[in-house]
Amino acid sequence: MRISRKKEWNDYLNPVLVKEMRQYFHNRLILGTGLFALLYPLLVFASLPFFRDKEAQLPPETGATVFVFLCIGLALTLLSSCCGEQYRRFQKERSAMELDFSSITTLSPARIILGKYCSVLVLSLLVISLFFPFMTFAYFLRGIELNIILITLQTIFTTTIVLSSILLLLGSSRKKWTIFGIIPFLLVILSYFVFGFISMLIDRAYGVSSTGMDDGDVLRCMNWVVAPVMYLVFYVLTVSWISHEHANRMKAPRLLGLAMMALSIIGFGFVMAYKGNLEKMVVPLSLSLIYSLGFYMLILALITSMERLKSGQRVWRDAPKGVLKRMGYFVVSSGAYGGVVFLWLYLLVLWILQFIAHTGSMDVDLAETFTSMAQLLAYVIFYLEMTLFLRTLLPNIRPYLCTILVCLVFSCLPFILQVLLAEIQGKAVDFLVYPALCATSIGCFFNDLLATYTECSYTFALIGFVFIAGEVWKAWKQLNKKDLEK
Amino acid sequence: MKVEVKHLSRIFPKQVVAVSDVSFSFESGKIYGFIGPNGAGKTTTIKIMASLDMPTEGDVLFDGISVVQDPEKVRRLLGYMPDSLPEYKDIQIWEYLDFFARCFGLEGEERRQTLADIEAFTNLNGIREKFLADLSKGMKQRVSLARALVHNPQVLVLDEPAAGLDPRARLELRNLLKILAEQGKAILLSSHILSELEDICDGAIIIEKGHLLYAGSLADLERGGVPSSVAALPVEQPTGIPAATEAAQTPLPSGATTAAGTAIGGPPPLPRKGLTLIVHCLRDAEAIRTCLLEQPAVREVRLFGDKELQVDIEGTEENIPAVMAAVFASGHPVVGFQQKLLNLEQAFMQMTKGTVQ
Repeated sequence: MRISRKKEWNDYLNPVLVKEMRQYFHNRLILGTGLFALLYPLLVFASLPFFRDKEAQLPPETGATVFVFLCIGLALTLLSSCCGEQYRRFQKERSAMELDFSSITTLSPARIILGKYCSVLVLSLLVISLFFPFMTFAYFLRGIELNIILITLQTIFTTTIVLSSILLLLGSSRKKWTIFGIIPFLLVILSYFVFGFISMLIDRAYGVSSTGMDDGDVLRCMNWVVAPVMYLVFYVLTVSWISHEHANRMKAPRLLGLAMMALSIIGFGFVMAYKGNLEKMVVPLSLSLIYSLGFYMLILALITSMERLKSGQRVWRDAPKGVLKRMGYFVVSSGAYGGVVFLWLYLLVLWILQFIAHTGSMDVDLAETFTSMAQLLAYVIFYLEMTLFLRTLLPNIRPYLCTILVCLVFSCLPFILQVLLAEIQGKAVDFLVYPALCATSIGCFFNDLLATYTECSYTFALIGFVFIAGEVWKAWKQLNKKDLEK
Repeated sequence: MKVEVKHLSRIFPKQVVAVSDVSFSFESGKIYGFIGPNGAGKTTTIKIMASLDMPTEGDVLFDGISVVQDPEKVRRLLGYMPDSLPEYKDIQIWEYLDFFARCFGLEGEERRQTLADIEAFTNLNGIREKFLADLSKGMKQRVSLARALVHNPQVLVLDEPAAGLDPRARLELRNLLKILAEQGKAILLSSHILSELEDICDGAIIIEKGHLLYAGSLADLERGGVPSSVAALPVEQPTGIPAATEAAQTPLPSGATTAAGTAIGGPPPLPRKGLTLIVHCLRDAEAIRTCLLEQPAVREVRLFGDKELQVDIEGTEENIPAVMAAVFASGHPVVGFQQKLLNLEQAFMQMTKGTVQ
């Protein structure tokens, strides 16, 4: 009998999505979620009589109050049923090697994670759709505008998916200690800090006295640019983490970085073009992208400090012919030395943007922000170079210990040195200490006096590069070995 | 389909050598037992074959396709059955198998038909709606086998499939594997239960402390590990092991040995322990003993009563005719002789020291 090879509609779906949805519907959690999504809003509405004033009338802000309660319920539901459950399941799959079995099929790591992301999206939308009719009721109770409801829902949704993407990234780790939840908890705080910091930077770009943006604009920037960028960043990093140990794991994260660099340059062009008309929404959106890229680069720097020093033969073997193409390949291929060169490339882009911003007579305080970003990155690059140097010297020490050691030494030592010198010789030698202090300690950001010397960080980043230049050169030569030629 | 494991080495961080210069091969229609004490390097070798891990050196070739260079192609050819199945409370057997069928790109009616066939073959169709967490060990092993068969691989690598199974489940598994071998699949079966392997396997690969001790037919192993034929694999110069990529590309002269002196490229022979003959006579056992001890190939002769002797002979079967001709020529009343065969368990115990890494 001839078997039909005709595709069915569900053959177009990602296999992981199909499996995850089936699992959700067998799971008691989904039943609990459905019941909660029905009963909790009913409970909120049932408590409406308690809101009445002395004349048995509902106060005008009742709708807003009800909406807030509904949002709390929605956020809790999403947090437990989408984020928490997805993390728990992924961690279990990872520890039971189930993810490995999926990865030795013809399904690529990118499709595996895409399936996971899609299942979170579907489930989040399902839960939101359960709450949405009740939120519409809240609108009819007055006290809240429709656009606030929509922006809030959008914010809860984006926060959920970004949070779940962070948790999936952590779940992809085989380290069981992450299940204790300390790291997820810290990352939740960090992500809010990042969101807050980016909104502060955008605000700052308009000058200290007038913000020029309302809360709605800031939320739009978060929802439309920062959250999707982070979502994409965590997706790429998760795929990279579950990819084969000897595959070119960093290719996608670095290519994403390059794409974001290109988009940031375009965004910078928009900012320059609209410098006389900063009310245009495109300006804060572009700034959001530029700052998000800055944070992404910090994450990449951290990863670079802990990845393998050099790529394996399998990665080098795929290098294209031609010097320029090989240089490009070197920058985007796994291996910490390629990562350092990649970060230097970004620093170069920042310098150019900073230069243009300074000479472009911007109304916004953008030039100064670029300067701060470049200096911060230079610090990070210096730390990274020192970490790699230490790892070269002590190959048997775990990479994360080297990173912690370098951060501790170069953050604390200059302060101690400063105190000691001040005790011994007074301020006469301060000018000798400050440049080193500024170049190696992030504390200079918080000290106006020290900030005078912050540009020394570039010099130190260069000095740091000298320490590892020999190894970078060796890695480059290895890539160009004759026996790797196709 | 021929699977060639070539000079495989895997060194974990802190210089823990899990597998060291292991070479063997097996082919379609045959079942090979992969035997070794705990920590011998079996699972590491199997994981490398399944492209779950990368060798530090060496390669595994599936009809010439390298697991190092083309893991994606190898995944289509290989079915891997691990020693355990996850305990999911929220996924049914058919859903689990359906997921893997989708992962291998099976679509629509073809997928349904394939799954129905596999469920029937592994006798899962009566329990297909059970959740994985509710299954017994035997059922889990059948699900695991079904998963490995979903994409109809030409090579099956099974890691301890009979561990924890009751006698009936073992028998069922054994029958399934025999059918699969008859269908032309190349099967590598890692197990501790040597009596099980003896019944089912055509050949054996014995590994200890990451080093290969024997690779060859079971018949040879029963004769004390003296190979009747040696598969010809390209082997390398004694200077060292080529890197993963080089190993696949460089043809090497045959007959060379490693620095350690172990023959590589194909099944290495056992450490020479010789053969044992059982000689039956009517009388004069002591005189026959004296006669036998005069032969240069005879190492030791033990008497068992008046009518039976056990003779340890150096070297290969080639020495038996000369020894026995001398005994017959002496005119003693010898009525028969036979070669004493080792069973797998005895051969294994003789070869390994039971030590782990």
